[in-house]
Amino acid sequence: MERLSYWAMLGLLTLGGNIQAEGPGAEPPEEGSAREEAQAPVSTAKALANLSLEDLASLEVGTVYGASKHEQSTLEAPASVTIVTGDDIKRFGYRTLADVLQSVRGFYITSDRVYTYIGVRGVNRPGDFGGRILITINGHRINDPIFDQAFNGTEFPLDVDLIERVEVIRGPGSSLYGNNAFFAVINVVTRNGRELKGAEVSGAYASYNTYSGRVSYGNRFTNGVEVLFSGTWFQSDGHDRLYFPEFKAINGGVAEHLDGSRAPSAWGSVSYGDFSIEGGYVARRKDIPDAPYGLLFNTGPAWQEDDRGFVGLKLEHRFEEDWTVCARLYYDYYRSPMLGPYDSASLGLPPGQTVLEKYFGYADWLNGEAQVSKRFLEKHLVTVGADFHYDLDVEQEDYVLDPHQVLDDVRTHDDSFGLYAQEEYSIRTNVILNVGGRFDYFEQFGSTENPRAALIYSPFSATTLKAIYGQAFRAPNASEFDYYSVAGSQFANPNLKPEQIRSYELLWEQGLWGHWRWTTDLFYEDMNDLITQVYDNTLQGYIFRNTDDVDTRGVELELEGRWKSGLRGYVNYTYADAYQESGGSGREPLENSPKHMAKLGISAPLWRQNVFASLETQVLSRRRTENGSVPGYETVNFTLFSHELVRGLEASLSLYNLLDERYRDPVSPNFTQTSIEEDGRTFRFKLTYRF
Amino acid sequence: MSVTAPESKGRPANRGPAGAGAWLAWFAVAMLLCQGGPWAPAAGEEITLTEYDLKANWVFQFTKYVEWPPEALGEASAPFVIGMAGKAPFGSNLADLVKGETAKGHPIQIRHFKPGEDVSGCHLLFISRAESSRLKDLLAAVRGHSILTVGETEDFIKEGGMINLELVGRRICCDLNKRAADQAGLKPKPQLRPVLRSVKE
Repeated sequence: MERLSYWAMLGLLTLGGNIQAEGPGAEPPEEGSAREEAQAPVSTAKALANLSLEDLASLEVGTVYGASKHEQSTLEAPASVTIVTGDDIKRFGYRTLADVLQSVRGFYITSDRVYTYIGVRGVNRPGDFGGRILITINGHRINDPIFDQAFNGTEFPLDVDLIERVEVIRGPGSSLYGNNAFFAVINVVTRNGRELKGAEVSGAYASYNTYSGRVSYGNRFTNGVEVLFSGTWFQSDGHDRLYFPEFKAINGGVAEHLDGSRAPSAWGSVSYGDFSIEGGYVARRKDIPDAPYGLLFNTGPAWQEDDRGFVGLKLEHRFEEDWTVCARLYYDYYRSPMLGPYDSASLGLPPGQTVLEKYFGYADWLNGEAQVSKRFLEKHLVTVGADFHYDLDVEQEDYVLDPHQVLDDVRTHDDSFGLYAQEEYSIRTNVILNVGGRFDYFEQFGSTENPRAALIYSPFSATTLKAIYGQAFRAPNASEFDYYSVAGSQFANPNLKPEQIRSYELLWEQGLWGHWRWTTDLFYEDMNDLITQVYDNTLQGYIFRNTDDVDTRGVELELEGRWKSGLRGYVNYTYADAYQESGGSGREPLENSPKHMAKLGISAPLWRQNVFASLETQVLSRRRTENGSVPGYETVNFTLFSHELVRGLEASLSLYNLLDERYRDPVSPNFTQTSIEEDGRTFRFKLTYRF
Repeated sequence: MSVTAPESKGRPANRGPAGAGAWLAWFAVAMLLCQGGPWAPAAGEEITLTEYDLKANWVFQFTKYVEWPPEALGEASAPFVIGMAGKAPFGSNLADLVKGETAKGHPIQIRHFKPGEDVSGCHLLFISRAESSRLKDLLAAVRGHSILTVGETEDFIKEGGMINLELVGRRICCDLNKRAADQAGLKPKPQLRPVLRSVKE
């Protein structure tokens, strides 16, 4: 089976090459001088001096905002950065942010059929909601205060069609962002109105009777006002029947019609001069087929809803003499109702009935940030900032529907603020020292300070070396320190402390022969006091405690290639040895932690710059579950994408898990199952038309 | 939390590393096949570029793709002056780029003009975004001289500037105000045409 994918890949490349060779647009050979010059130790700008105008016009910026909170070259960023562009999203047929991250070196996604969870470098503990990754849209924090959740599936508030680029910034980012920037910061940058310049209509049909549609309009008018509005509808029937052998006694282990979902979402932005207003929302409902939290199996209704929205005002002004001031104020909300059927006895009610219980998590909050940066004496760029988070209302409630009976009702308040500073010092033209630190104060547990330092050295124009040290934290969230449930035997723990990480990273990025880039990334991450749900025999129930210490060390290797013809590709491998310290000198491997991970992606033009074929494959090694393991697996995805064959029209056909690999992901202790089987082969057909 | 996991039976162990090794080989072979092929190489694709790397190059290219009246350029030994109004955002990019280069046979010199200083002593004037509040004054100050004005603000062309560079998505878009260039006696070469987003005649 694996063989097959190699041959398919090779065939694709050869095919792409031949067709390209016959095509009329064979590019003028630019071989000689410019190419060699790029390797010489001269400045970036100089290396491009001999480009033709057409080549210059076709070059793209490779900058990242989220690493230092201003635009900078990825090579000068104090972190290991991967950028996935909107063009990649189209060509590889990514449907969600989770699909995007699945292709990124060191990242892996697991699913329990309700949510997808992001793993990084061997750490993705079942039961955690992803709060160790900070997700931002245009710099605005998306993680919520109840679960800290890193939304990345259809519950992510932004349609991926509206993404200009995804910035994946590895390593601790608490020195700038505070809470949740533990393993990585993922900043999603949206497209803007001037780029859209008109209307766009998109529709897709996919496996399991899945429909989605989008209407967008964007423009910048002559009076300087720029707008973008977009609305998306998504719905899916999901599997009609899903088989779970653990529930064989009920309906033969088959859950029927319990896999559907729907997710309307909207996005808008208006800007004028230095001011902009932006807002987004999503209201996703996903049926729950696999009966976690003691739900009755194959009994509806059982669903989880995630309503997340925000609106904010931003001001950004660049003064003369290199002052930049940025301020933002946001209102955010999150609603997380979950409805499901229980046996009345399991809720401490009179036995013999099936009752519907609803959990309702609800949060409203205000947050804002002010930031000033100034360049001094050409060599110093100093950034200072402050931000706050103010809870208007955070509430978690459990009640039985009919007859109405409140089981638990918890109200939480955990306001916080942070102060940060960062200095980027260009010691020499090819050496940058980036140091920063942040102080955070939380009403709940007090203060924490987190520094980061990076030394970036570029001995030759194509070589970059980075040494990075950073600390970060994740604060206990409302579901961990405050939630208690008599019915669920869950106890609150107001004494929880934040989790801590210390991270050491050495990065070597090497440009090769003008088209290739080789990356070697060594990492060691030392985590302490990870918040873990444990069963307490004295309390006779569950409670969150700062129990676990986890270490992960390993290496990431990547080779990327990129050509003007549109051919591009990457292959990467991650070795991650993640283990938990278990008292004394004992250590045990982490659950849901693949030691080996490899990914490959190739996108080749089949016909001019209009038709592209893209192939991706991902391999994960065996992962532990609570009481065993799930085997390694390989998935292959294929997308055929065309644009401008008909004026304004884009069409794509994607096949996911092409080889129909049957694989399983470990799931949290809230499930009866220890692992759950994922989707086999599926497809999507999509059309987008621009007016 | 986790207990020692018994090995699951009858499963292939660790397919990861073997798969990755084989891939790497195939990938390298496949992509090397493309090297000598029709995939025309171009410099810069392996380098991560910033907005001002690109804009510096555009500014440099304009010295080649625009014609100045000979009297404006003076003697062969006189420098071709690229002027920067206020603090330019190029860092050392532009200076590195033009080092040792010539424009129309003249050595290139970069001059930074302080606010209020006379900007008419240059051949090309870059007006950065930070100077937008003084845009009208600056454009008025060069009127009647053969100075190519290059800007990066939304209303630059409307206000009478000649060439505007704007970052749209990940690429630089270039707009030309031909009328303003004509009035200053400057002639953009036809080769510039295909890469322009818009031309104001």
